[in-house]
Amino acid sequence: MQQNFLDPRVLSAISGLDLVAKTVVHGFINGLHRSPDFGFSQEFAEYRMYTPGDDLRHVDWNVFARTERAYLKRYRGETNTRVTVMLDLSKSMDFGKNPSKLEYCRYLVSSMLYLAVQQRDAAGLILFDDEVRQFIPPSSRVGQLQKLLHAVGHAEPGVHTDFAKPFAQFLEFVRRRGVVIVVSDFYADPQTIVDTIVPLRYKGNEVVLFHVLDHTELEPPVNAPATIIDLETGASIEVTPEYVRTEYREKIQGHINTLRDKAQGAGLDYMLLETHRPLDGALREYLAARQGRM
Amino acid sequence: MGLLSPWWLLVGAAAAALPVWLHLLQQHKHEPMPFASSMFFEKRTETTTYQKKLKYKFLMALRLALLLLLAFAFSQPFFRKPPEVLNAANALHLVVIDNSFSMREGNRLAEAKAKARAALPATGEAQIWGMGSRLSILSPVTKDRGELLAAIDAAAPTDGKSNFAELARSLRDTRRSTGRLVRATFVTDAQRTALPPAYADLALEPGTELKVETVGALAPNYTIEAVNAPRTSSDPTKTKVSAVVSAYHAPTAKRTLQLKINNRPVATQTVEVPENGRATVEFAGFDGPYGWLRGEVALVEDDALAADNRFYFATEKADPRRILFLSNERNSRALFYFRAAIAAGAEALFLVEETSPAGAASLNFSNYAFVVVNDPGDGLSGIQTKLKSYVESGGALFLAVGPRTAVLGKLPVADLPVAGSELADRQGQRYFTAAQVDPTYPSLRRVERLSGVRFFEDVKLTAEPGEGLQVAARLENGSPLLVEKRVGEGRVVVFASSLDNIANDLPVKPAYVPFLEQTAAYLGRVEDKNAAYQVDSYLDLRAAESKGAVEVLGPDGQRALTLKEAASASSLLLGESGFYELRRPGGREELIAVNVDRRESDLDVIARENLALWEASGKAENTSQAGSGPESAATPDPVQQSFWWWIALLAALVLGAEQLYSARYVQART
Repeated sequence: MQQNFLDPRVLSAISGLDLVAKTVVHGFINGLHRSPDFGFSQEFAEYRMYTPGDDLRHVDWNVFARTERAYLKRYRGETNTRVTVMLDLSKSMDFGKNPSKLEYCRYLVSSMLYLAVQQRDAAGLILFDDEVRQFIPPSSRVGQLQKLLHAVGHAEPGVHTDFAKPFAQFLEFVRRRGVVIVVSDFYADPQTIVDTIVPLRYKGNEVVLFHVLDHTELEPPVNAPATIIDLETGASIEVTPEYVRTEYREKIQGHINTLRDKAQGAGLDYMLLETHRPLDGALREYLAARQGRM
Repeated sequence: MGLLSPWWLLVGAAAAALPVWLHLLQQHKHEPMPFASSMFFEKRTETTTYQKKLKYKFLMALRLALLLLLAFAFSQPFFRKPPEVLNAANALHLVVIDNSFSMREGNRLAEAKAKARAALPATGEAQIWGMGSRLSILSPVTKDRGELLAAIDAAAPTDGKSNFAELARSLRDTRRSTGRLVRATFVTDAQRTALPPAYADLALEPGTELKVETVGALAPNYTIEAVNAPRTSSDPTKTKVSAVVSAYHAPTAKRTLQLKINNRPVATQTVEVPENGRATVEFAGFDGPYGWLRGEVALVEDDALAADNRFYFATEKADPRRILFLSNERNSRALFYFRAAIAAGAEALFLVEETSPAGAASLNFSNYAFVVVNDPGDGLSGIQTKLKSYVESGGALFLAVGPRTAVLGKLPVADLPVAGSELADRQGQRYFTAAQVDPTYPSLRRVERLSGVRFFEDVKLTAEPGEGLQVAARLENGSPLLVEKRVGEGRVVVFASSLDNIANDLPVKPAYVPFLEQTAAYLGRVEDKNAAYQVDSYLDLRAAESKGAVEVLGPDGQRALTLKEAASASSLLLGESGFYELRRPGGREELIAVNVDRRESDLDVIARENLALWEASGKAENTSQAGSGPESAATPDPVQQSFWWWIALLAALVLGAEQLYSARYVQART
């Protein structure tokens, strides 16, 4: 299973990038994640003029001996973080071919979890549809990665999506700040989605929304009048090619734009991923953007 | 308009239902399409059935048109084309004068010229043709009567045989190529022998008006029909020359024939020629100097057509050519039979010289007509290279394979594998007979397929027919009996038996002499020469690969070939009677005698009804009466003009439009 998800091409593509957490959380193990708090680690950050009240232990006496001025030598503190991935298992995620959205999400989530564990982050997973199907608390213990990947590999499509209940449940579990990654096709009202997720942000978490869509959802190949069957509800609806070419495309694009705007307005990171795009490219693009924000 | 295959329309109508079904029925079905979410879809349906139909109406129309056009094209439509109206004022007048050999009789040609002058049109363009065995253009197409009259006056008789089929073909070509009404006047003596075997060859194109003017009358005529003389003779005094005298519509009469050699009378004979019959005269030998002799047999008495009273032939007086017979045994039985057979030949063309293979080492083989080797065994080993070199340079070898040679494994010079020999035993088959005999092979032309000849030994020769190798005869068990193999420029004829009567009984059979006589003539390259050719036949000047100029002097003593033709022409048309002198690249000279086709001597005329039929064959075309008077033709029937290929072209255009439109439609939908 691990071999399927941790595609070496994906890992080789992102291993050069650091997963930089925007929000500094305290951790138990020193790692690669940089903290905005200055501390006692060996990595030099800057000199600052001494002001009364500063701890004299931080004065660089060598500089004082050369310049007769007191400077404080400051270091970057380093820590690790908690990464929690929330994967939507609604029936609509089973749409698409080669790969379906769910298969694509499995690769994506597995890659993220692997990366997090490799960097000694505590990684956790929540699988949900209209309620939480499986919850693996974040941990950095040995065997956590296998546990997570097993859960991802055996994730099967459930019923329809309901963000309210799983997120309310998740808020109860959150003890410390960390990175929360939500992977879904977000077939719901954008305002409702943001309202449901934004409390996580209020608790100091860095929240990233991965909006996964198949290309045919953006441009459905309807060349003749057709009957659309909704995968989640089973409802059928007769549509015409003209409608699909015009109004539908406007609506789905409007939905994406609204969700992006509202998410970014609420301090959430948003990224649209189409399943025909290379996974490594998508990850690199997102991580590069995140690094740029640091 | 009509249809040759109307049933195709029914097929087309059935096929037209296919696009109707596809467009009007299939379009109403909606395939269910699973989708992630119907959140952004709203119900939309096309309002009316007419809307659906309208969308595909043009495409469907194109497809329907395509199928119907194809069905229409396959039904082979035609329309009745109204007959072409030709302008008689623009007619091309042709005056054709028969200048064949028979026009030499009496004053036929002068009479023909007078009628040709009278046939010249007062106005309009005209052309003068001469018609013997081939068409000759005597004037250009012109309105100048002076030029036309001069062309008529210049018409001269030829030695060709009149050929009405050639005239009909020329008239057809002219009618087709000019597209004009052709009015031809043919002045001829209308010999019956000028008619082609099939009347269809005389058919004229519609729009051709032919008028046949006849001259001359049936006249009794005697002629020398044929002369049989040898091409080569070593002793002409012993050579017989026979001549056949024929009477055409002539009573029984005594005719005197004179044999001339080099224009000098050497013998005269009188014979009674029966009424309308033939008589044969035989001259017992003549004499003359060595080299080529110009022979001629002539009738002394004149008659209506004096020009056919002589017959030319060419013969060569030469010493007999030598054949080298190589044998291990002196005065062997094979030599005895071979020499007797060659000496029994009618013309005594060859002389046999015998020697042993060892004695042949110092001889120049190229001095011999060919070399014969009878069952040499390994005795040829000393001269094999020399012998092969002789054959490769164009010599000939006759190799008889007996039991001594069969054990060698491979035949000398010919290089054919041989796996020993087997005698016919008393228990099984006691002898073999010849089978699969090719009677067209020169050696086997007069041997009656070697029937009755018994072969007691089977030489297991391996020879597969192929390039340069021919198996002319086999034994009944399939073993090759007579094989010819090309070696270089020469040839080796292998006889898979001996020339004596030990391995076979051929020497005591009637086929033996003609077999060896024909083989000697073939290998000595004297078998395919004609003593006389006919006018209008072709003479081969050179083989395909041979180089060097061939000089030809015609009967008038002038060069018959230009320098370029002399260097490259492969054949020569013998257009005149008389003697042609040839000088081939090797310096070898030949004399060719050419005589007029004796069918020209028969002055019987064609019935007027038959000529009228021929004249009527081209009048099936309407002509406008502008400028012409009463000579208008009868109204012909309309012509069926098929136009299926125009329909097919239209279908191809519709197909292109359908492809274009459907591609644009699919593109618009996506």
